[in-house]
Amino acid sequence: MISDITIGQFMPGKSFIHKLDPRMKIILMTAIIIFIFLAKNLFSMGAMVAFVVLAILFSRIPLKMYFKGLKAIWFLVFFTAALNMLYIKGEHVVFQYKALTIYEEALWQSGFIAIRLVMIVVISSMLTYTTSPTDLTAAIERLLAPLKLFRLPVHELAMMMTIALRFIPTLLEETEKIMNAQKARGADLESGGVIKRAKALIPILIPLFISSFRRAFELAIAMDCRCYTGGKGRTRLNVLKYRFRDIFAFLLIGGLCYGIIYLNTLAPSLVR
Amino acid sequence: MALIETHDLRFVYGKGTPFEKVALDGVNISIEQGEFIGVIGHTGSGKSTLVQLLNGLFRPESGKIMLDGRDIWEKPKKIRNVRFEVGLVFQYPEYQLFEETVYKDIAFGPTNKGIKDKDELDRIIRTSAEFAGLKETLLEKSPFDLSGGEKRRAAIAGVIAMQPKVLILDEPTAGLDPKGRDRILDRISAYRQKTGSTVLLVSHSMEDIARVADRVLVMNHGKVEMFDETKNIFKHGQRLAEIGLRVPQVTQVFLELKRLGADVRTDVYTMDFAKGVAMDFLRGDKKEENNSENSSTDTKQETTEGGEAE
Repeated sequence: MISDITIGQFMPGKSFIHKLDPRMKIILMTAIIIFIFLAKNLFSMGAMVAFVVLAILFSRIPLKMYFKGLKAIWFLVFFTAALNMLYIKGEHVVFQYKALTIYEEALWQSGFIAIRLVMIVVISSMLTYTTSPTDLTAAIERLLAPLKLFRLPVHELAMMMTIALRFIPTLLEETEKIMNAQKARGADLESGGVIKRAKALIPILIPLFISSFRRAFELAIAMDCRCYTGGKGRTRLNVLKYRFRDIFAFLLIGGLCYGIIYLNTLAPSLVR
Repeated sequence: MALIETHDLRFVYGKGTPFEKVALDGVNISIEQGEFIGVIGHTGSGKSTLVQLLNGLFRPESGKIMLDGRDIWEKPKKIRNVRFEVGLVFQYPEYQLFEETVYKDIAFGPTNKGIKDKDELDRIIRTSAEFAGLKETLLEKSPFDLSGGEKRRAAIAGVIAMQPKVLILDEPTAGLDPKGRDRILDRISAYRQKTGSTVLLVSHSMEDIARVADRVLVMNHGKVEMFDETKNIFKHGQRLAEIGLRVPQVTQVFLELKRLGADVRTDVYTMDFAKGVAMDFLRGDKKEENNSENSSTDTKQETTEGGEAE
């Protein structure tokens, strides 16, 4: 079902991760994602997996939600892992059948890639699950603030992001409604080849586009009515402030990153 | 044999999630060929869910829907055929328009149904447009250039064009001005008289329902609260109020008159009928000076209003 899509969904809560400063969260999540790629042997990868599992527990978001987020990428994970398994050449042959040869190196590589992909999705869903869209964009705005020097409209970009995130669920709902309306007129969305299916999308996409434009106009007027004039001179009700727990989290992740590098030296790399 | 029958129909939203909600439970209704049924209920009472089930868009959790004596989910792969038999006009149907011209948009349904013959298609499109009260000149226009009321009628024409046995309309008059509203209701009544098809009208407006429906289905919390002839339904003013509904305004006026002591009938629920009753009352009743003076001003207002509405 279309309502299974969980990107950008925020689940209010009071966990340690929920309470972290959103700027810190973005920085730390980025660091984690980089280090997911740097973990190259079983020790460092093990540490990373253990950390992510702990983070999941600490976020107090139901496991089900993470699985829902992963549902959309199972195919991608499987596909990249399979491709890697078939194409990477190495020295130790594990399995051979006619032209098909699978090397030990390929097994490690595809296993690592699968785990990395899953962890990246988990970590980035954790960011959106635990951070309200307003916090998220406020943080992005602050983090990108230095780019103002290069005349980049940072506030406007952040506002666009907030609006985009805000309208994901609305658009999904609308898509479902239009799909049902066209189905009621006998639209056949489930059968036929690629071209027929692509054609069947037209009656859904056109109304969707039109209503998006309509919504955009309405929103623009509503913003105008409240005298929105862009970022200049705009102040915030809740000014972001680093607290003790943010420093603690920073040190924790710093330790983790150092640990990954150290563990990498303990055993030879299994992947490139 | 009834045209539509449901047996212990049950439907649950978000099965197996924390948001699970029973939308319909134990719904047993039976609708005869050619009937005009009004469906009312407060927001979230399950009326929209019910009509989408009848149309085969949702699959019931348990229970059966019989159309012409056959279970519509007997062959799940053929469910599309049910949608041609039971035409459903959604809320705010104007948002489903997508083609370049109104003509092509109306053709969408019948083409999906498999009507290929150009002349037949043309005939169907033109008659449906006429049923929906669309002028010929509008057919070649882009649907996005029409007015709100016209768009809606174009969307209704698009469903009528599938020539369904049953036409279901989910709040077809929502958000329209009184004129657009009257026009749509008149068109629907005319369509039903000419084709003899069965019509289900979901509405929040008691006035609309009172005007056109033979029988009224009252939904409350996913269950059938009442299902009876229109005049019998509006006798239960108090019960209707309890479940977040009311009787038509004109009926309220007569109930109030009765309470004030005027000897009038209270089974009045349309303007036309109210006019007659009020006139009879004014001619006949001269006994109680005080009361009739009060009530005559009230009824006069009502009748003038009624006159304007026509």
